[in-house]
Amino acid sequence: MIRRSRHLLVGAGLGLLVAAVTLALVSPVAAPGRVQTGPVLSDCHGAIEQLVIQYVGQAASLSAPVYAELLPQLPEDVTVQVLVPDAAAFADLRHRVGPVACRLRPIVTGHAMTTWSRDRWLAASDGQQRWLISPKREDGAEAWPARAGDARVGDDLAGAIPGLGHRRSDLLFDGGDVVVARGRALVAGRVAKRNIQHTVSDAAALLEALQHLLGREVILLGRSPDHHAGMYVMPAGQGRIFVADPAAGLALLGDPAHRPAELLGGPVDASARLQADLDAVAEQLTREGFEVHRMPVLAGADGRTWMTPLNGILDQRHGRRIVYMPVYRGAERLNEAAAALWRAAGFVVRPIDCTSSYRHFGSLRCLVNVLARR
Amino acid sequence: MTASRIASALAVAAATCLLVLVAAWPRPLTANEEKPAAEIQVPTLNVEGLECSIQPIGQLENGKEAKFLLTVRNTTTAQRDISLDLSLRTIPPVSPGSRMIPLPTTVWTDGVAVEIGPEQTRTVELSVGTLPAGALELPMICGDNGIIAWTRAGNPVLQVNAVPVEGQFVEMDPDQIKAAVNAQTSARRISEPKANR
Repeated sequence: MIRRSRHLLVGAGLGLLVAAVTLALVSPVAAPGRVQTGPVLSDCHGAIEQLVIQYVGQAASLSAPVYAELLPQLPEDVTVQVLVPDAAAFADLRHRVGPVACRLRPIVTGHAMTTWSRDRWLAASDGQQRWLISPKREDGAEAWPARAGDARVGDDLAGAIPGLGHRRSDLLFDGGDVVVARGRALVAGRVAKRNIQHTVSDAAALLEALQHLLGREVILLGRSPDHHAGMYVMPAGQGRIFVADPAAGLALLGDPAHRPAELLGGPVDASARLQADLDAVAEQLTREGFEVHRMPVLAGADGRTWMTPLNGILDQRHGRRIVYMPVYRGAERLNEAAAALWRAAGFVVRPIDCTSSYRHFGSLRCLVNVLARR
Repeated sequence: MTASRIASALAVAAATCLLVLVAAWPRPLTANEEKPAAEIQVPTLNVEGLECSIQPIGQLENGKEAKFLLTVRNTTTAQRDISLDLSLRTIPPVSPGSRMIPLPTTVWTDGVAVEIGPEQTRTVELSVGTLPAGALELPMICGDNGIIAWTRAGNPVLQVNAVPVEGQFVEMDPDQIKAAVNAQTSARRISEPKANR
């Protein structure tokens, strides 16, 4: 009987072999235990390959003018993944933005969300696979339907982009809290406040968890403003880094003739405390070996509204460094001074008017997340 | 081997392969590979062997007097003292278009000094006044160390420009939003912290 059915056994063996080879080829590579997702993406090295934006009609008045300036400037080899709640929103964006060379790819989520793509996740790569890392949960999600929807965009993207993995962290953070410079991850001090004695026991445990999560050496900023790091620090390549300088911003725009309070929609933060917070960041980064340069910014006394030329997107292609730099109407002196500093650091400056967004507490980098670089 | 046997063998191979692939195809990469870690239920400030925590006394109700209990446990074998800066902060309402929740507004603050014997536990009752609605947090600070000792999730959003009109939110100018937020929070804002030590 065995001899008679030997061909069937051979067939079964062959089937098992083919299945095993196939599974070995398609299975994700994941270390046992805690998943290693590799280092998070650099902010200044490599050519941008894929961007992600979240476009929702309710926030169109703040985000569409920014996208209408940025997207037409992107080269044709850039893909922009556009998360939209429905197809109509994508059509609306296309209409508002006009012709573009880059590829716009809609991903329809079917749920509410905010327009702030940056804070939702961090992009990482382990060399074989790309990953998104989402925070444990979104701040305010329990009462804010769009924020609850924000918590789902990591899954939305991983479900729509082949080969993209998604991991949810045990830590509380926003993507804007992390800036990668000189191979190291700079993490805003506010992350410590959110996590110590909530998700981790102490600062040492947080540092260890962050280094595992981010796959890089971590510099946890000590004294620093209670805002996203991407508002007040940004690398400029070759070990240089810009740190915000409110005093320099006041020197440019603090005079009542420039109507700074009108620009910010409220009083200016001219406090010694904010200046000391940012001086402390500059000193810490100097101690860490960075060549620190200061960048003028204008900050509001509400602690949230900032006119900052640092909240940009950096690209590096064909041997050139490019900064898509936020600019603000009415703050021309600030814009010009900032552009000069970026140029002096070797960047081609492409201004993006963020007048429509900054009074909602974010500018260009906050609206655009980078998924992949070459 | 005859042609029919080869055909049978190939059919079995295909079926086996299919069955194995269906059964063992990798899970979607969106699945989490690890169990989420539990959060710390009672945040505790540890300062050189002194463990300080805060919990509400009884059921907290908005608009009514609220009390909290500060517990300090001395895990050392020496007499110790500690000075804590405490505050209760409310999160102002926010526009749905906002990127971040606004900075909190302090509605109560106090300084507490505690002397405590070796391996003892002391408690201090804190009256924070009328409890405001919405999201709250209670930072506890000792010198350079500090934690958010207690939080209450609430409704920090959608109180200002969340008027639904045919399912859509009405967009407001940022100036209108700030004016509305200030109007809602100024009555609760205090000017100077109480120096109680």
